[in-house]
Amino acid sequence: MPVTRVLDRWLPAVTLLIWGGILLYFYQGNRLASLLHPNFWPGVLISGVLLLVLAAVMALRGGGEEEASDPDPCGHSMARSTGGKLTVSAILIVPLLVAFYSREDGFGLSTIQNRGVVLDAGAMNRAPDNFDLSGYNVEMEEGNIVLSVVDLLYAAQEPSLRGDFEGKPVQIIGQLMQETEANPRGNRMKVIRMFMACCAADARPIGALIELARKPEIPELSWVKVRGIARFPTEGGRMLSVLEVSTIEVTPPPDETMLY
Amino acid sequence: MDWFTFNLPDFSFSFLSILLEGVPFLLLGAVIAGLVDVFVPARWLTRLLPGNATSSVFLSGLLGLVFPICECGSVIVIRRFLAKGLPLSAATAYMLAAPIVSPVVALSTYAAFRGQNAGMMTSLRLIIGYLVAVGVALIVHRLRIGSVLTPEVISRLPGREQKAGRGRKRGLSIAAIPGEENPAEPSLGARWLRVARSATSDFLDVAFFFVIGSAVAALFNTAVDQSLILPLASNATLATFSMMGFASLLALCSSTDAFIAATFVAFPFTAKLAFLIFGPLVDVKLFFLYGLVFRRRFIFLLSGGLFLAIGLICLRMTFLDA
Repeated sequence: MPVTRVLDRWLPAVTLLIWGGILLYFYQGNRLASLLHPNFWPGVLISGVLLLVLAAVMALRGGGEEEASDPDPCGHSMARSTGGKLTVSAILIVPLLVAFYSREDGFGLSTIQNRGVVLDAGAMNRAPDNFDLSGYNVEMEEGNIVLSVVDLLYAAQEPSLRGDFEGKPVQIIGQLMQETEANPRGNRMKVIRMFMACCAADARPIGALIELARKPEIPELSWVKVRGIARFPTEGGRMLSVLEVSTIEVTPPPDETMLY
Repeated sequence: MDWFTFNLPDFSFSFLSILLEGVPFLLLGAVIAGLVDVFVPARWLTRLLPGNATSSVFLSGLLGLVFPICECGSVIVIRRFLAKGLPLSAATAYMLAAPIVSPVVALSTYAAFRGQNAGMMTSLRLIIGYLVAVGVALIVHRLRIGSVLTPEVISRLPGREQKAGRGRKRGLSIAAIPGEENPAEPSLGARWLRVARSATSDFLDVAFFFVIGSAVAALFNTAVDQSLILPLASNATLATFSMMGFASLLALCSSTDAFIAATFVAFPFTAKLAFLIFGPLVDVKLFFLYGLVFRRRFIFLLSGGLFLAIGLICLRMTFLDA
């Protein structure tokens, strides 16, 4: 069997197998939660299955006989030669595998800084999918109102919510970051969460400020549980949410690290 | 802070998320293209459209309302449409309009711009997007086909196979494209096998460019300090053109890009409008994908022309920013 015919049959099959396998790998076990909005998850499942089906078809019946008899296949020059076919396959497979093995489950500090942390809800434009002002249920833990970072941001803009939380003990979970701008006395840090519209590539960090008596010995981007009193000062024309911290401790990341 | 900071895990994370979001749409486009290839008789499409080229272009620009497809999938689909005899101008109108003139895009734009003149933004996006697509298609109608399409695509147009001397073309794909229809009516199983082979071939063709485009987009949205463009917001001209450039680099899907555009609160309304119209027509991944159908020179002219035209149209509407 000529090398070209073997490649025509097996390169697509292997490529589709790898792509389909990776899609299904991410679909299972909640691995998509940090990568994609849930609306897109069914598409990943269906695509993964379909790619495996196509891989099987190509392995069993790929590179039909009529192709083998074509003495002068035309098309893009890269895909005509054996080297070209292997190069195209490498571009389809290698970056995917490198990304697969080198990724971490979230963004590092440089990317978060590059995207800029949103500190007021006006810059967010829309509330997360499960955010509902009308049916807000207050959950308590050890006398603290359990909120998410986004709750505090919206409270800064919504008078009725602000009234509910202002001056009260509140608890939030997020990743700890330095604050360099809205920090006039140098005693502030921020707690951030990533807020995704469709995929991690568009996720933007949103943050609530925290005021501390002294800087904690906790590395940046550690997941922390912060308790303190909620305040909503107006600074630089923006109404910000600030937590006057009573306790801060490292905590495991939540099941879903992204907000949708 | 440096303007460029590369971090492999972040790049990988972003790259994977773009791929995972886009692959279902690519595959959908490839499967539709495969079905068109096998089950839609040649020239059936042309009989659906009016005989007059101008009317045909105007109607094709609205097909996205009935057959909505994102910008990645539309490139694959029109390649098959062209091979089935759809006029180039009509195919161009569909390809450029479908990612914008669709119910999904209308709904997402309206939802994203709640509180920011959502009705106006949605209407203008669809109307200007449609008119721009139709305008480009009408220009394409006056061009020589050889100056627009690649030789590979031309050789697959109906009536060109014999002239080219061969009927089976391979594109970029590492997978063989199935041969032309067998004179003897093939069995249903054989036809589905052709759909699978055709979809595989198309998918791998487009995935090649999608990988490259996604890598460029992931590099930009993880490594580059995006606050650099904020100072541009105060000048209408700079804001409009920089937002279009930004849309190209981010390479977002047209069904969801409005959620990102809406977050640029510092930018004028018309700059965000330019972002929403230009992004689905020209971005880094599309720039590579268009290479499957169009000549490189045409792609450069199309990109530059759209950049200028959409920018100028939006700048003429700055009264909306008041």
